[in-house]
Amino acid sequence: MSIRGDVLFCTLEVVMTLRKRGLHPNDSLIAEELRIPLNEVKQLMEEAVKQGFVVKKNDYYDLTEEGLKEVIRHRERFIHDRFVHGDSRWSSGITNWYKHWRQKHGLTRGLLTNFYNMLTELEGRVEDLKPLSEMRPGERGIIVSIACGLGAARRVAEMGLTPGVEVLVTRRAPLRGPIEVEVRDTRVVLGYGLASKIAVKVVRAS
Amino acid sequence: MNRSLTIALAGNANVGKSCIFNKLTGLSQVVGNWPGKTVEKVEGTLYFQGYKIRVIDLPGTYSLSAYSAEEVVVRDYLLSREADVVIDVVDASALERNLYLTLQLMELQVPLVIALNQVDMAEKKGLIIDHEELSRLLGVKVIPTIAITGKGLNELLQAVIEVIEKGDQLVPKVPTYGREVEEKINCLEENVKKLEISKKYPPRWLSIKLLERDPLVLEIVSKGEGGAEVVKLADELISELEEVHGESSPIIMAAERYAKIAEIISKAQRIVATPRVKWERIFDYVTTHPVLGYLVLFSVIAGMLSLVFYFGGLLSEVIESYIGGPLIAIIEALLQALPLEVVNVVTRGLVTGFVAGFVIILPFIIPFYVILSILEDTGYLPRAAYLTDSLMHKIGLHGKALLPILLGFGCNVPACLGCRILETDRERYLCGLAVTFVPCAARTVVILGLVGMYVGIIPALSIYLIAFTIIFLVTKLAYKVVPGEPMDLIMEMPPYRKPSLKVVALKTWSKTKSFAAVAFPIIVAGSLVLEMLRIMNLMDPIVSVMKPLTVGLLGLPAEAAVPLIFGFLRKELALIMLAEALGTYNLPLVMTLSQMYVFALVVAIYIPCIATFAALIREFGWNRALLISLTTLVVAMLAGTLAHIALATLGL
Repeated sequence: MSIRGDVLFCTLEVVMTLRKRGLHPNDSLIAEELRIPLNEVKQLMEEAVKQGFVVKKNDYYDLTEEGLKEVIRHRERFIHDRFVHGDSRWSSGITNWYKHWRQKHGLTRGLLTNFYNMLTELEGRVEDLKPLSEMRPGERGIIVSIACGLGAARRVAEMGLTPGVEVLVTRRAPLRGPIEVEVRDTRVVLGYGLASKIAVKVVRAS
Repeated sequence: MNRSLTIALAGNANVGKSCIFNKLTGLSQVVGNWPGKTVEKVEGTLYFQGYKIRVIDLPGTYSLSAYSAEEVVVRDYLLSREADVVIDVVDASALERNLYLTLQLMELQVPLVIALNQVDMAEKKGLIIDHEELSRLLGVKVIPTIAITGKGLNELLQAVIEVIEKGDQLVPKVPTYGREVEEKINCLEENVKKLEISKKYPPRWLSIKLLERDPLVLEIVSKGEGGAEVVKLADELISELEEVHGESSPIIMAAERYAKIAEIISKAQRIVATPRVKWERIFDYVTTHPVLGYLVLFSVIAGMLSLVFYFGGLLSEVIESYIGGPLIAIIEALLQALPLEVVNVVTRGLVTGFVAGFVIILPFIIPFYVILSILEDTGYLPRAAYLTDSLMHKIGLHGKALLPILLGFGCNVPACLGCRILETDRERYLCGLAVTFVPCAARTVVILGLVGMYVGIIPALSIYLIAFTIIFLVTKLAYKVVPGEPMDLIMEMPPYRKPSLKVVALKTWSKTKSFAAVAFPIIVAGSLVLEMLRIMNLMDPIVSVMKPLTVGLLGLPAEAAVPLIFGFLRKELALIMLAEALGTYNLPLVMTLSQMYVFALVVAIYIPCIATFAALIREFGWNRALLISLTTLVVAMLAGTLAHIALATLGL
């Protein structure tokens, strides 16, 4: 996978999000969303059309079925690398993702169905999700998912960090040290490794 | 005539539960272990309005899942229905998180009274709690208390007696959850009711635990007749639930409970002001600061080590000269009167062991417990863990393990006892293993006195380096081998609190007492055996039996076997005994430099000493204590042999 390939995925995600919002994504809208020059977007979109991920309809782009699959694949790989393994290890060589989640990560069928629903429904780019470990003090976020072992996940939830709850990062120790968050009137400290498996959607300060 | 009653105190950690316990029971308390568990069991007695009340202080837990040994203990105890009433101590200043445990107690349907503690702290935080409304919502009595001043404790006992006598308001309401979850619980409950086990445990509770995939409940249910089908049904229901919610079932259930709590809180709690900045905030800021925090940590550790060893040393000297010395003199006089050889040996062995226990162990244990209690009660320990977590991760442990490891440099005994501050069984075990490899003060005496003196300071330091490498490798390996799910650091960061000196003193007294009860017999028995070997001239055969090891593998003089064995008694004496065994204090005459190096290395690594062994037994049980000790022996022999080969190859 080249860097260029990665940027291509981003454009696909943007097309998908804009379509979900009921907009008609064209070159300039995509450029605005991605914050890259217009001529670069034109090149990327040509490439995307050539590979059969998007089709041009009159004045806007739409995802093909293949394009949709590609987005989901990109999103699950992102979540796999970023949250489950917590490093930027390139998960190449995985051809059957469904099987991989089932067998290597022990996800049940029910969980996976919902996981794929979530991937399809997700608005915005998957990159907007951050591991809790990357939040800065003073930032607020909403817990989206907890991707660690069953025992640890239970513990995290019991300490009050359940999906949907808002947390405020109060401080973090140096050198990949633990992260302290304020949640439900108490302060809870989580080790860096654990925090990197908790996906958070950053809440913009109002 | 007194009527007897048993009450149990349950609650989160850091809510003032042990403070309430100490205020209620005072000096009557007894510390022990829960059977088969390395969890402290504390109980005491009090008399109130003609009742003799036995109070059990259950360990502080956040939940009743099977996460830690503590949780299992609390759960098993509550399920045994021994307690007539359970007092749930709830921190009013963190009601939301504290009610999580309350809800689980309600699920268990135990007779309950709630102590709404630290209402003063809550008010300072601007939280006003309507305890009558809370009582109505939960269906049990709620009594506001301030543990540190003892306010409300009389009313609390009064409430307990009242519910016992009237029998009303004893069993709390059954908490109900969201519609989907309720459907699943009810469906499962219908089937669970048919099982034999539902006669012993509440069927609704069993159903909830099955849905939560509680490993222990899954096990007991599937064992019973017809249990397998129910577990299968539970699996199906879990899949359905997970499909709808998109999270694993333990998380769903936790979220359900918190949703219920939010509903309760919205009715019973009002927020009137934002928290104020005060001394607590400043302390908190300084002690967790990326620069200042480490300075404070360093001073605390240095202070603690020097306190333990300065005071310990002082106490030790005082005890030795005022108690040990006279005692030995008396015994000597007695021995004159008793000419029998066997009696002589036995008495000498017993006395040596007893004096050793008194002189070496207690003086260091007492200051250790005082300091540990203070650090625990003020809330400094979590801060230290927060600062050192990333460092400790390098060896597969986490921040909370720092304290025991550091203590190990002074003495392994308190270090082993300190492993208790870790939460799960697995982490404690790993920490205990790491701790026994830390070169303690006695081993330092041998390293510096032998290698440092005759070979050089660099080789002496290299022994430390080897010891650290071994700790690193052994812990890394054990991390992979020891069963169980590895747990990252997750803990509450409690606000700072002023410690109560009375509570600290009570804790120290009862813990020391309980330690002495376990350690003394082992130390005395060990001394007796070794003394008998020595006096009955059994040393020579042992020396020749050990020859293949000492001479063959380690390349040491055969006589070195004696100090190696006696090192088990007191490591710092190994050096003197080595000199005695070899017949000269001028060691370079009889040992080569590499022999000295190998000897010191082996002494530095193999099983700490008999007192540490006793501490290991107390903390981890016989099996694990033996396993840990055996590991150190094997590693020591391995390291010694390798060092011998390496030095020989180098021609040193």
